Amino acid sequence: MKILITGGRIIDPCQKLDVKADLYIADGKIVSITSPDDFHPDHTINAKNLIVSPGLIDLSATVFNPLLGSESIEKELGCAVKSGITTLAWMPVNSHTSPAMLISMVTKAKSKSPINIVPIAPLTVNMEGKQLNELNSLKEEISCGIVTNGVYPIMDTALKRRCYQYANMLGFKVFIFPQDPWLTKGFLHEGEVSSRLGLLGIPSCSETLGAYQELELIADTGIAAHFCRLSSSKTVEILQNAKPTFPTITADVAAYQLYLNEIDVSTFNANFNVLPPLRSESDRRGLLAGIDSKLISAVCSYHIPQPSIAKNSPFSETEAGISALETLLPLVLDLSKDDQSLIHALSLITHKPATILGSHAGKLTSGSPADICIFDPNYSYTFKKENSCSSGKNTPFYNWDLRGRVEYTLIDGKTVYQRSRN
Amino acid sequence: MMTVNLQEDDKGNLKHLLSLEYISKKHLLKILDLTRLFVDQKNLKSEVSKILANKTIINLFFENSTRTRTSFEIAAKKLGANVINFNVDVSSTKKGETLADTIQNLEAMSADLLIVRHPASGAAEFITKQLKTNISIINAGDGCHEHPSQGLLDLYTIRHHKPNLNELCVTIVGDIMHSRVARSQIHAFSLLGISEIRLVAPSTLMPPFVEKWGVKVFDNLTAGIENADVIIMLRLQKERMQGTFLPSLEEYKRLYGLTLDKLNHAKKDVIVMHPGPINRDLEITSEVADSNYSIILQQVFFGTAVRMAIMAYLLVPEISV
Repeated sequence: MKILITGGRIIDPCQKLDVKADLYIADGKIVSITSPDDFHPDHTINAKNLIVSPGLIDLSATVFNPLLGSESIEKELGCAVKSGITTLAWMPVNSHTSPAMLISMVTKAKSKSPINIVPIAPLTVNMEGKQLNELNSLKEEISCGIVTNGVYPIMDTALKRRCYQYANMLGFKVFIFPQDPWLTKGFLHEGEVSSRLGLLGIPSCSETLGAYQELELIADTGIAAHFCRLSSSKTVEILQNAKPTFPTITADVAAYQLYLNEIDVSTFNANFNVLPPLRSESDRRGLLAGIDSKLISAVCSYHIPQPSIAKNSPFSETEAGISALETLLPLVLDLSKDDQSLIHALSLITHKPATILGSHAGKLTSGSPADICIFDPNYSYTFKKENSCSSGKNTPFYNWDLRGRVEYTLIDGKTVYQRSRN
Repeated sequence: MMTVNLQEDDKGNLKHLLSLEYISKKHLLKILDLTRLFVDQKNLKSEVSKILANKTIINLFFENSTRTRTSFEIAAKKLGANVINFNVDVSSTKKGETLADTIQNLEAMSADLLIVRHPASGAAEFITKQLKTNISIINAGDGCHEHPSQGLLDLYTIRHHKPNLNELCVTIVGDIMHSRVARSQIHAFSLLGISEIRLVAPSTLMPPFVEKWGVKVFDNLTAGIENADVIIMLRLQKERMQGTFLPSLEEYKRLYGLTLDKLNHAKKDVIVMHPGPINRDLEITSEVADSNYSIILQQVFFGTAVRMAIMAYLLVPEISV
């Protein structure tokens, strides 16, 4: 099957490419941007005024929330595809995570959705931090190469160390949420707002203490590591200073963390309840600086859809998480002010997270899988709840004016999403 | 929707009393003025016991409290209202009824006013956002966030004894971190221009960034009450401690307990207050509590009048014209 994408602006951050050109695809793979001999397309996509980018790579999405039921998995994956995402890292939840169940869910999801799923293995049983999980079966059955204990701290450091030793032996990379287990019991950032609201806060030193500990464990066990969802500017500094000793460590931030801060929480609006919490304005700026300095090389959605019941209580009684697939692209696009920074912005959701995941996707080089996101970078709209495609309506971004709309999503050269034009 | 809009209806009338952080000075002064009428028991346009006749008031307490609940009940009954006490058993919450459902059910019972106390900060605001009818809400304490009626009665009491608020030094002593009373007090005192507000607490019980509230922070009692006009002692809330904040009650008493001796550091005509119930001989000695410095019982007396004023002001606003 030969596909031609014509008239678009091709941006491939991996090659630092930004050019008006046509893209040639055959048998599910990128052929080139120059016309190959004898190329007669079976199908042509008109990408005039649109950007042709590698399909987006999302480092972290919860597609199975037990509160929403397994029927919602397909809906979330469909929402991801509609949001331009072609590779998605499946975050485990702290229940229903027996290896057998996870294998079954992921296998079924793969059969129903074209999206590339990178399942992340839970490090401990039910992520409770008490027992090692059967990582080998996850590796063999669903090719897990990444392991995490999510936001659930492992109290017993000796056990944590053994978990890293074991995971490392099997070749896993660990996705770390740096935190101190005792300081992490709060509901929002410990700062001006938490004091005013009378809510227990999570101090920044919870994350920095966690970061220091993790660095030592990484050095001690040799495990490959990636730091997830940085929230404090101090953690950015710590990791920056650690770079010479730990050159392969990577870090990401959730897209929403770059736009929100503790002041948003002061309304008690549970849609701002996230873990790690939204911190101060200077932390937010520190995270943006971390992106500029490339210490933070990837941005993810950190999508956690919740049913309304999970958010419809006083703040401290609600579940954390933002439904974030649909805002990934617009929020990342808004980070760029010019063409130069547009390539950098797109790298945060294409080849950089792909590399972190150990995936060959995220680029438009010849021979790469034809996973493509074609979007209109200038289309502005107000993000409305009624137009939202996720099962989770828990996002504070409703009624925000956003820019950037996906027109087509292709996976392996097949158009898996096309925006309807009626 | 911020609390400032949440408390008022679109005509600018006070519909709910959720917090003192966002109350307008106009409404606060009107409530204090109305309190005066109830205290003096004269110059009222209508007969007191008819003001809330035929109104139904529900006390919805998710936390145990005999004192505040009784104070509201007495106040409501003095105004002629019907009062229902709805004590939410923790176990029935465990049976699965969400707070949102509880509120909806109560709304369906056509009450005029809900007085709510709940252990979660922000609960009063949350409840108000659920409302589908015209019912009014009074926050009787939401977690560590606010306790507006207490803040108002303390402000009234201070103003009664020390009318020149902008030449006043008020010191609040105790577990500030977990105190909804302190937060409400600070907002109320700031709004009416009390010139100096000081907080005294051990560092483990002082909220971070509290200097941003325009207060002075002390960890030493005698320094904190030096030349103070008003001292407010807070109850050491033993049941709210999550973890170890203090080595012992004995050490707390030695460092922060108010004695007659330490009181010498304050002004000669200092008044000593306490929201109650007092831990006798812990944060305050019997000598101080029973002395002429103490106006603790008067706070309780004014408390009833303040609560009458709040309820009347919310449900029958024309009364204060």
